Amino acid sequence: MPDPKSSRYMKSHEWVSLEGDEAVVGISDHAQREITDVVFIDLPKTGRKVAKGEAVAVVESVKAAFDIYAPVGGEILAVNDAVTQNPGLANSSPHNEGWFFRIKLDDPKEAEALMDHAAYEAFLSSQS
Amino acid sequence: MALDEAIFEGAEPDTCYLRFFHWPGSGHGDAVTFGVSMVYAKVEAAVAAHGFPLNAPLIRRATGGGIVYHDGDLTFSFVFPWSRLSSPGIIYKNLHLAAHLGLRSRGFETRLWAPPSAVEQVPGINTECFSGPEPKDLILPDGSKVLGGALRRRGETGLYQGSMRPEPFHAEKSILKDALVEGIGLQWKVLFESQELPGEALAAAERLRHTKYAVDRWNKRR
Repeated sequence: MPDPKSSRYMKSHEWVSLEGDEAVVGISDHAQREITDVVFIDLPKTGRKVAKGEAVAVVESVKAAFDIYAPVGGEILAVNDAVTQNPGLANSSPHNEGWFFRIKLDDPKEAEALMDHAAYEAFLSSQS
Repeated sequence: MALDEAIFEGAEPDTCYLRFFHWPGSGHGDAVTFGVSMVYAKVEAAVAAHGFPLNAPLIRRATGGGIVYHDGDLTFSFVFPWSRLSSPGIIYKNLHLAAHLGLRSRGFETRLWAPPSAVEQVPGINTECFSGPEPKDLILPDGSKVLGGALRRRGETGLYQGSMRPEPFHAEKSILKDALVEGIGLQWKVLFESQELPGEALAAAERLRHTKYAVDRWNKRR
């Protein structure tokens, strides 16, 4: 399962874990804590082509909906049906069972521009 | 809804937009809006059970939350910078505290609702907005809810769509509106200026109306 320390992060708090020319995407532990109790997740359809930074999913918590962005461009290969059926997984296991979707990368180098774990931690500190 | 999203999409950084509007109609059974993730068939059933006119348009919002019956309520939207990801509870608290302060300055007593500490909070959403208060909703001293809202965060911008019940205040809507302008302005440290909507926003709203809010593909998507 994706290791938070080897994942890359967006400033909008999505994580991406690279696996060859594919990647797994979810939201960070910090994001799930701020969003609070997730009650609904709308994920992109399998086969959809998405661009880096494109809004691709929606997470809803207490009367608040949050856009979720693609950290990298590519084609959606699979989505996590378990998290749509049990949205609380995004809270209880954001880096494992609460993953959102798997994507085939257009350009693996795109992920290099994202923050590594240390940089993301520093970013969070700068925000508090 | 289309205008709200057009303003939301075109918002300048570090700028707040407060818009008041009303639904076309007599103020009785004009429209129903419902949260972005709700199932249309369940909304239809709830609206029928509520006894709301069945010919009222049912419109899916971009924001979360439950069903709001627009039947003379004071409706407004607030677009604001939401740069640092923070709990929606903080946003509700700040906005509803702002409304509370504005109303208090005009002699209306309200307070923010908090659940009894002994009650365990179960994640979820009231299906109907005014069926009961949720944490940080604005209530009257007798406990009835007078203001509720729903949020959307996109990038670093937030959209709040609010609905206030004016009846308990026995006051003109314009007085309540002024109270909200003053309260939100003070709380957000913004001096609002009255403005006509720019042509680009109107054009974007018209596009959104035709491609999203007036079509089944959006309203019946679930």
